[in-house]
Amino acid sequence: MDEAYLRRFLLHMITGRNLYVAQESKRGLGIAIDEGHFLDRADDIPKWSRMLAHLESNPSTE
Amino acid sequence: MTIGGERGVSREALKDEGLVSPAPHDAIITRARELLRHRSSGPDSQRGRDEALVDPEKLDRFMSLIDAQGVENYHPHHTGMGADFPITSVDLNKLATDYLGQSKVGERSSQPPAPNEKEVLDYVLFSGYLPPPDGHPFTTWDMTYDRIFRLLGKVKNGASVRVHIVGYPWAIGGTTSQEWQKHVHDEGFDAYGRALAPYLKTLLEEKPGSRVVLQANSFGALVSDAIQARLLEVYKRDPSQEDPRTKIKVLLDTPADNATIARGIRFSTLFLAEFAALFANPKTRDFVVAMAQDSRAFNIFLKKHTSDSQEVTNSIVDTKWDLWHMIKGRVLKAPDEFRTFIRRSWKF
Repeated sequence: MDEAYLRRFLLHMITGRNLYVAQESKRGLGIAIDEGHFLDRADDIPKWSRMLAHLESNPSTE
Repeated sequence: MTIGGERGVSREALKDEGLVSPAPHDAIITRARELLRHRSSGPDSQRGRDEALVDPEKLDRFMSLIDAQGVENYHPHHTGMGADFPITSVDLNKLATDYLGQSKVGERSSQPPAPNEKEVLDYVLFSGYLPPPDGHPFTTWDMTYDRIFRLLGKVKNGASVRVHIVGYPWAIGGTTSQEWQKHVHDEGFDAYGRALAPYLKTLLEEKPGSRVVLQANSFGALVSDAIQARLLEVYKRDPSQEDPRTKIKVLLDTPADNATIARGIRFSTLFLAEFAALFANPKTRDFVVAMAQDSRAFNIFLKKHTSDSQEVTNSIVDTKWDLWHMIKGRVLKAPDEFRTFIRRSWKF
């Protein structure tokens, strides 16, 4: 298999397919399918956001 | 938007190839924007919460850098047993450097501390079973995002951290064969132990003082258990090596960790019921149909663009022995030996 095309397809996997998140769901939030289960990653967004803010923060202010 | 470095392609271009399912990364960012709007227009008490969201564009950029490393570091792991496992990894120190290097956080320097060799941490993620062409490292990429975000505090404190994601040989980018299927038929999950223990051993021996955390769910937990059992077997045969029990911690989430007939029946029934439920719901049915369309589009795409015209031809039949052994379950051997935390989000 041509490596460039494989990488191209893997990129699609990330952006479009297996991490399916419905724009509309029963709670009006994003839902990801993981192993056929519905994992609500929308609840994780504030936590992810806090961790990223922590990475950005100036050590002297902590 | 283009991601994936020089090899990246635009999302719009991917749609032009006939790939139809929705973009989750975009949806996550859309949701972050909604949250931000909601908070900024909410009452003071809400605005004052400590959950201050960073700019969703920053989240987008950070996640794109994760994606790019995942694609860039993807490689097949050759086992010599008739199977290649698709594996990728993300170096969190590089991720932080790349992200902060692009950032303008006020006027201050925002470079992360240089990683030290005192705390070296490798997380290895194993996902559950999904039929081909799924089961590759990106199948449950939300696990990867979540684990990476949770580890940023350690990066901030100067630890050297990587996350590795292991896919299965039947998936996109893997290779399976009659030889491999015979190994799985004869040995069950122990075949996975033999195939992947050398990969783990390399990680354990790469840097002195390194620690490895195995995080696995469902099918992946049984694979992880087999690898640990194999590592221990090798160590007991040659105790001059470092004891793997001192370096490995395990996080498992699986309903398949025993081998009773009753559990097997319940497991397989509910497994099938879950697929039935997927098709009963119009939204998830549309998703499954879109996945099938994407597989067909990808095969046409490969035929059109690659010289060897290789297609992704593995079918669920090629995983029959893997499925069989998953349904049978496995009495976990490793938790008595390794520091293990088990939770069961599925009750059987």
